[in-house]
Amino acid sequence: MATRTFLLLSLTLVLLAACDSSEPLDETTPVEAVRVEDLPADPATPDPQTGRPVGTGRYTFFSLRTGEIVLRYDEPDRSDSASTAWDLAFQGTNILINGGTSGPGQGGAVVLEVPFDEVTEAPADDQFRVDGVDECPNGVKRAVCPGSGNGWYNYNPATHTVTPIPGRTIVVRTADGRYAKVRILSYYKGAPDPGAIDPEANPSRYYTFEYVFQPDGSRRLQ
Amino acid sequence: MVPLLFLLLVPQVVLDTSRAVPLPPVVVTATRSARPLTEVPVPTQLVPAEAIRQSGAARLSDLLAEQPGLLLFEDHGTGLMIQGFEPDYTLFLLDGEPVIGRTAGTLDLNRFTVQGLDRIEIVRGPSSSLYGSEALAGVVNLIRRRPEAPLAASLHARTETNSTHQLGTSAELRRGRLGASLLLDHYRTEGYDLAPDVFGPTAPSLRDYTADAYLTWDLPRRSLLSLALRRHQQQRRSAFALNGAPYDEFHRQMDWSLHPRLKQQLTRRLRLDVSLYLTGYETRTRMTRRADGALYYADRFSQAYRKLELRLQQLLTDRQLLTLGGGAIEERLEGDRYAGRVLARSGFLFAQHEWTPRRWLEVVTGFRFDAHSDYAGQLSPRLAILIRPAETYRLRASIGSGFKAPDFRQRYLVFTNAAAGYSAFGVTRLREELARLQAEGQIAQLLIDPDRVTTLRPESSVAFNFGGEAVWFDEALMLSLNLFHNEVRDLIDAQPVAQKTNQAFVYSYFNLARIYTRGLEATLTARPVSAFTLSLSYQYLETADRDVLKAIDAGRLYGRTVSGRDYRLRRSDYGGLFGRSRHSGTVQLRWQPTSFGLTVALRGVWRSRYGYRDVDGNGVPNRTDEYVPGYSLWHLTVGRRLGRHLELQGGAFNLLDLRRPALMPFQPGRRWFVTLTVHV
Repeated sequence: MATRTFLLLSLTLVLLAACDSSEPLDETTPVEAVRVEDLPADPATPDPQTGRPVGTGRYTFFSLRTGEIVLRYDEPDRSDSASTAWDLAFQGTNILINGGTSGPGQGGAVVLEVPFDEVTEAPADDQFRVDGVDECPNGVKRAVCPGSGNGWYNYNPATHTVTPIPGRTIVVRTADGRYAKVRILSYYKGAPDPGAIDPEANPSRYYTFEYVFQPDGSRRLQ
Repeated sequence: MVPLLFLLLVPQVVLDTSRAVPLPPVVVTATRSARPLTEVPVPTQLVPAEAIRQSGAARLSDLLAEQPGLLLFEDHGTGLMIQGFEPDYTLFLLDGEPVIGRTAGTLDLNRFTVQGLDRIEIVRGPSSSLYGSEALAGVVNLIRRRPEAPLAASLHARTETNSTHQLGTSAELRRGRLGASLLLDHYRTEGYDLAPDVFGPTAPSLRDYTADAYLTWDLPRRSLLSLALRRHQQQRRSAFALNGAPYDEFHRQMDWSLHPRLKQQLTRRLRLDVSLYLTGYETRTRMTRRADGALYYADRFSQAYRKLELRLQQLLTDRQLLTLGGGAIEERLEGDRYAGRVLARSGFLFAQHEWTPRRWLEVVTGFRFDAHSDYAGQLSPRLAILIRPAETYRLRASIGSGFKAPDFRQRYLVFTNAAAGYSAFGVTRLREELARLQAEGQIAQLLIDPDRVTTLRPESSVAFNFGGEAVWFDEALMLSLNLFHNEVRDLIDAQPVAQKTNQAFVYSYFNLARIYTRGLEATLTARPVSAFTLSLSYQYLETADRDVLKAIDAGRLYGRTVSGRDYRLRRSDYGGLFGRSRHSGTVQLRWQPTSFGLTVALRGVWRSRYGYRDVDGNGVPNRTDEYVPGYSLWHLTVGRRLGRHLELQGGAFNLLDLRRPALMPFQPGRRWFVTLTVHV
């Protein structure tokens, strides 16, 4: 609960600083980056029987438009998952978009091998991928491809750590057809330096990411 | 028989005994024929008995670590890195026959005592044209001492820091046509703890026993029958904590070999060599909770290897030697991680032509074909040339191909890590095991179509070696150089093939990467006076993954700074393959004043930084905190003969006490030692 309060509080503060709603948006208004910290993506708890870490398998749904969690993974009522209120859903290393087989929206995504700061514009719509439609190198049909090296992360089998691949930017088409760019910063609670992850203090499946959302419907992401 | 072939092959220059030039040492590994070290067309290094003794090392790891151009590579044991290759790619031979028993590809050098060895021959570059799989980076041949003295025995006792002791005896006997040598060696250490605040030792306590015998029988008509036997056993005890509870770990490994061999001179120019080699390796691991002795993990593994080989060597006219050979290998495997028994068979044929068309020219061509029941056949050719324009220098050039067969894990593994929940399956087992997991409802999603997983190809290389030697001032100064380039394809690596419902992955193996290693090896040896030898060596090494270079050139590979900024990697930011130092070198200083019976040997080993982990998620070393900083180690050994029967030796390894517990847990710091040898 404390995490959630902190998350919402920090988001609110960031958003308040980011967009002053009293001023109308125009071409010259720069869009600001928003940072989301420790979004819980079905963190694992030890199974009382075996002691193995297990998750619920459920997603946490997030709206890039409001900057808020729409539905947490531990919420038993899943009705909001079928709405267009969310843009991205997180569970473990999986990221879904609100479109195709994953949701009723117009969502899509494309993972660019371009650093976040250099992505100034969303690519053309034919480059966007949709869950259940576009096939990944490993055969799965997903907008953000799962598997080490295929999408946003690399998995290190020696240290069993998941690290965001530097220089990759997820450009997202939101459920209502607007654009955003996302950079994942950490998969571990507290966003520690990836060289100093403490399994006790920094459990996995907590996303820290930054994003820029363009509310005016244009492709401009800067 | 050896002298016959040897004499016929040695060029006149060396045979001119009137010049009283001592004959160069003879080596057998590079061409599988006896050749003087100076007449071998591929880069070959010799560690003679004297150097083995003078180093004061007890185990092979300490001895090889200080040799020019060799570096150690720590991964499930202490392995050897030749020309920038991981330990999997170097073949270890004991008297010409392969040593088995690798863990995660590493043949642990701590397993071998240096006692009983006559010499070690190290061939660089691929020798798959003679030895088949694993001889990709190089071949290390440990050669036992042959029984020569009518009766001799010695006793050695050694003590070292960390309650490390060694006690052993060796004896040799020669009576008429019979010869026998015997070695018994016991080595033990209590291990060490570099992190006292963490429960459990850094290195386990260890008990190691080696028994080795070599019997020879000179038969009539220039035939020689020999039998080599070896049994080695090692036990390790350690402890670790899991969720705050202490656990004990016990590991036992045993290996043995039996090697009867017949060398028969069929005619004056034709020799037959029949060799049967039987060897076995087994391990047992048990982890139990200390509080109640409850079993946490247990694993058994056993491997057997049988090989029969026939070899014919025909001396042709005009200084040509033709070698033809062939044989069959059977490997058996049984273990908890392999779900039952595995049997694999292979056969091979090889041919080699050694020719001295001119006094100044030697040409060696050869090939080997390996056929295997589990993977595609492999043809490994090699061409090597030695040019000797003058007595003071010679040039070598060789081109060859090496290969490494997919290992047992890659072929047969059936393993699930109970703690982490992931599974790994060898390619021959993947389909059925995935189907089983799917039927049990354990698979959340397939990441790859299992039908797309086909049989593995061996990892293979093409290699060039070019170099030579020059001597000045009547051999008081000698320079040896070698340039090498190894281009390797089809490297096998694990990739996730499915994700389980517990979120962990299922892995299998694929031919993925292409790498190269290239560089320069140089050794300068100076002997200004006969009592003093200084040897300096340097290795420059470049390694890279071809796909990484492609990604860098395409601007697709980035790094992330500590502050979170992403930057495009340039080629100069890429630290190459993990564990490889770009620069490394050795210093060897030996002083043997004739009057005191004294030997002083000071050795230094230096290496520049090397990548050891990926922090920023791009899979390659590029950030400073992804490297182990460079370092040097110094070792000093002083030995003195005390009368006819006694020899005392003492000194220290890692004299300057370099310690980096987090980065180099395998380095215990300074180790003092004293050895007493009694010759009877």
